[in-house]
Amino acid sequence: MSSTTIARRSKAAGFDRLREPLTGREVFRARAACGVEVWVAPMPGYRRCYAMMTTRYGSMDTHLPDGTRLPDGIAHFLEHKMFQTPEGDVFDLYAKRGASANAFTTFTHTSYLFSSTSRFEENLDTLLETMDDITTDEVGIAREKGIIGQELAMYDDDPGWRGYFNLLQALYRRHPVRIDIGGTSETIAPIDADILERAHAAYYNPRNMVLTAAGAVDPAAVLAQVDATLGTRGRGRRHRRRATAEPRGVARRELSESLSISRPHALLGLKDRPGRGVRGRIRRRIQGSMLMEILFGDGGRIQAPLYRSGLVDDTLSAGYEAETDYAFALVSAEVDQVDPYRRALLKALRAAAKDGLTDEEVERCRRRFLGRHLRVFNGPEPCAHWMLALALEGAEPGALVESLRGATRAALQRHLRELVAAPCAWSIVTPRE
Amino acid sequence: MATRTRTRDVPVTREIAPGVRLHLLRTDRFTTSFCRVALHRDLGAEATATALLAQVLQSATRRHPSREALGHRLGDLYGAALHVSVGKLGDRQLLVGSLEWPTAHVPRAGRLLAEGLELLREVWSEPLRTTVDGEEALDPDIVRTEQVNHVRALRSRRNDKARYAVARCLETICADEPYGLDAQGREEDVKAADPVTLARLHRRLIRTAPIEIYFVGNLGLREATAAIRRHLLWPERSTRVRRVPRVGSVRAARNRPKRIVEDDAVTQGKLVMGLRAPIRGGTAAGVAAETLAGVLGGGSYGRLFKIVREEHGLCYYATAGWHRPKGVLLIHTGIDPANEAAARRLILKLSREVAGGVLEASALEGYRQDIAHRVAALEDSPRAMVGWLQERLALGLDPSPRSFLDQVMRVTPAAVRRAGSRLALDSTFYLRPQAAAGEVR
Repeated sequence: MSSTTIARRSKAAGFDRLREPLTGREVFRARAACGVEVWVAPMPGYRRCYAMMTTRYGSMDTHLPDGTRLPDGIAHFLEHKMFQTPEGDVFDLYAKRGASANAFTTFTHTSYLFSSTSRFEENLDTLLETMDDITTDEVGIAREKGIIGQELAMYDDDPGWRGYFNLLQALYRRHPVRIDIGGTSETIAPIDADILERAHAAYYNPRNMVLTAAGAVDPAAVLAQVDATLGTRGRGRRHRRRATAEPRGVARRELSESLSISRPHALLGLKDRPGRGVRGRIRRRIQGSMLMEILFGDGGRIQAPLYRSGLVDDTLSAGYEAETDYAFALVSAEVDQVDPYRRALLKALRAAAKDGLTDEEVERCRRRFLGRHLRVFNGPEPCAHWMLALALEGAEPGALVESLRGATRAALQRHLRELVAAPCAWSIVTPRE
Repeated sequence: MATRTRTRDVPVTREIAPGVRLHLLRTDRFTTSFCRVALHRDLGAEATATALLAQVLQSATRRHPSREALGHRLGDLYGAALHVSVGKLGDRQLLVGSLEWPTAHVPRAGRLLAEGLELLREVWSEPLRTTVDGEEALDPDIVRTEQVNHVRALRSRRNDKARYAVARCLETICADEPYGLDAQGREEDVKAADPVTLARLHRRLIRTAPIEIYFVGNLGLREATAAIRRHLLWPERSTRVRRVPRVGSVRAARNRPKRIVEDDAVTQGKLVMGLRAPIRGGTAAGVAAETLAGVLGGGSYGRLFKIVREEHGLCYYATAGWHRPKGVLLIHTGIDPANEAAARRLILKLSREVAGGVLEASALEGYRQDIAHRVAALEDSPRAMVGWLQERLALGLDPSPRSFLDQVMRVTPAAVRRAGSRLALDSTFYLRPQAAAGEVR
């Protein structure tokens, strides 16, 4: 447990009461009898409630536990199908109560959510019940293929999306992060009722799921409702994704695609090594994110001179992503001329690694991150997503603050030198002639 | 420690200087304060220069004379988010500068409110200046850089196909009206917006443009007024405030609908259909027209989603929205080119049905509940509340979200039919896929 987090057991409610160290706000965490992990943040004064049910099943889960290879894009396909029940479309139930519902699939998980300002209990019931079963009529599956086909076609025209996945394909040789979350029209074509049901049975069970709720909500009532709706018998098992043995080198140095755009998009990926253990992983992710901010944030070490030179504009952005078995930094920009930009960017990265960082840069970045973290409490939605990240990571509410304090200049410099020396790849999206 | 919450979510409005109104939303719900300053002006010949000015203002100030210096200052304020941009509200162009920054839970929190407001004043009123041929000018290097960037941004509008298609359809519908112009202006006007021109424009705007200031944070009216006057308002205000055009102006659809087809090397076609009626926003007919748009395509309860997407599987998204200041109903979908004709016919059929007052009970109920939820949720988001206030006040409408909800609840199928009878197709824009998608090399 983090030293900055005060935890005590509230036996009556069955919750751990955790305190976020910066604001002192309380977060409640419990394991429901059926196995669902429940996180609740009451936010006094807010009108909205935001609840999200998440299964630890995403596009990187390419196999069933028995080893059966799943079609690429099936996690996302399942997400679409979960809204259909024998009684009709789940969206209709939410709409009748004025709730706004949605879902999304990521590399590692799939989340279903609603936001409401009234009738929270009924909506939560719907959310919980929806996860328990799947309706798989062949007509509906065929129709869904058409709808998803159009969703994929929309992304095919999006230079940001295409550039990003081309970069992952260039960076990774084997790791399933290189697979597009939605798959392709070809990979989803063979999906049928049988495989959807098997995937659902394997991954949509209480022990593999997390419920996060924030806003005008009562933790004890939420937990009681989970027990009442999903039962008190523990079911299923938590899915732990097997690490992929990914070679250190990149798959390709460069991948290009041409689209109907006004000028090239250039993405540089630096293939990092992930941290070990929960704390190590969080620490490394925060350090990587801090480095990207110091170098490429507004007025940053590399951003400012590149901007002044006219090589980049405000489309320059950078980020850092990490999971248990992969990590990479990403720098993206729309540019007029790719080669001069590439040379300037790589030269600036090498110079930053050689020259090191200043205490002022590190302290300013720490402040920025604290300020960003505070915004978690500016609404039920960011708060529920923050709790989900903690739950999936197995972390405590004080993890960020603790990692920020531990991110010393020396540690950041070491990480920067490693990043700059790491295998790298480019994804270039060029204007179609 | 339990969180104490005190909320005053009814906005209080005061004129605090000639042509300057403060709208205060007092709340201690948020961990940051939010302040938006919006200058209103006509949307016309100076649109490009005003858009460029926004970029220049957020590049540097007298005290923070570079992007580095300004960026560092924002970092010191715990990652304050500064955003200066232009937008359009009906036939007006808005030059908007806002700051969101932590004012609690961090060291020196007591001083941060004033420091944030002072930075916002600097950005608005103290750009980096020099003289060129004896005339005051904004910094030529910055202007030159931002001219190049602005041209790039204007050209890249086509990259986002969905937004581009919507913009092209609106541009066609309102071809001879200010609203037809993009708030970012036109490429051919960029060169003329030189450092001297921009300095003149800046001086004129901050002296004479009507200004709306929105503040969301934990301050009472007296404290907020004092803080804004002391730390944000600049002294160079004229007592003569410039008049601006009305936000809303409506007219009937053209006699013969216009159809524009543009080819592009994309995978998915984008179809945008614009219908129009001489119905003013906020009137009973206007609220009925909004209900019409909502029932047709306001969400997953709407007819477009139910029929075009779910029943026929023709698209991933199909939405309809009502542009209050202009009386325009815009329908937008992304489709397989093989299905364009079928989708277009189906959308028009559904539009005619709803406009004829055939309101599916579940869709009407879904829309009403959706509005009730949105109205209640406004209080939870400073930006959403400010956006709502900004439009309602500019249109001269009651700013109370609750009274809008009451209006929506009173709309009958007969009222929708009456509004629908005035609605006609004006223009269609279709971005047609020309060739296969990109090949990966």
